[in-house]
Amino acid sequence: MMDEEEISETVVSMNTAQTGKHIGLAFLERLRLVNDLMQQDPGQGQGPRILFKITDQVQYQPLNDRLTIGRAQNSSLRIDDTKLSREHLEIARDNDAYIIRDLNSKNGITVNKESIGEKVLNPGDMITAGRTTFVYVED
Amino acid sequence: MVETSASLLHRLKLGDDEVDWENFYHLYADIIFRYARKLGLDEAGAQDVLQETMVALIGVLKKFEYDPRRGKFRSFLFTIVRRSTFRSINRNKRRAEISVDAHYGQSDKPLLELLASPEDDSISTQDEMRWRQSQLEHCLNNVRQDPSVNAETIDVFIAYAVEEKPVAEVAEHFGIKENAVYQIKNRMIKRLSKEMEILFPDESEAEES
Repeated sequence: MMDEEEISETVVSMNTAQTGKHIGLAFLERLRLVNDLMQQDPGQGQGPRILFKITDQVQYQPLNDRLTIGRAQNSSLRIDDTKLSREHLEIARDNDAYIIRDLNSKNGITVNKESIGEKVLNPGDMITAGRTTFVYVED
Repeated sequence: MVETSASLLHRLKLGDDEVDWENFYHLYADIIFRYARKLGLDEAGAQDVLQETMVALIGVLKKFEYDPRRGKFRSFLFTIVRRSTFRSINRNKRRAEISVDAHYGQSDKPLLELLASPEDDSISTQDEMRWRQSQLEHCLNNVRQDPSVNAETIDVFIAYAVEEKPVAEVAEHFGIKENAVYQIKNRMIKRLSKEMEILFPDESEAEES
């Protein structure tokens, strides 16, 4: 533990601004969802993947070079959701990162409740497309 | 009341109680965010680091057995924070989706080079300082919210101890004697020390053993 002399030295030039907006309720709620899905994650140890719930059952989809999600039969992940376009979105690998892209869907996609066209995914990102919510995780 | 990290960690192992998770978040989120900002990340970049760290912790804590004899909880947490920071910056830098100061502080080295390799678990003095300062900033915020502490006491402490203004200038500005400025600094340092002991008791236990 720091003694009083160390504390006295460490406080010099510290940032005295009060807690920022990052401790917002929306961020905490998103972490709750991530925690909930990860506690029931059947794909633990399977590398980069997305988690989602279908009829209260947590499922996972591993990510490889490219994954498409939509209502079309030939989507890599086909979900029976009338609010999804036939080819709604893709998640593609770009070196060490995964990029999510909206494939000109009718209803669009949001990541962490913000509408996006394309974004690098970070672990814990919450993706909403149609009525389905996905969470991106790694190991 | 915010629970302390060691007992909280013990309880987290007992299940996935939402309230426990929230306590953990409330104790560390501000500190992790502040640490990331000290590395030169903007608010969005720091929030990415906070998110990635918390998600990594959710995964790791399920399997983690806390044993103070094997090292401080802070070292464990700090290693996860540094690795998450490194990964987050690395992942996003190609896409230029985060704004990072090209150079941090007075150093000529780029930010990523300043962060020790995530495989190297030795913590640099500068990194240690950033983390400690983030903890103290969090403690100061807690003291600020204590209704028994006069707001002017905090302002005097910041002017003299944090901003390092001359004692005579601080005394004149607040209309108090120079000796009172010294006393306020001493009292506040003691209070911050107490706050650190309350919030992070496992650190002192580990270092004493």
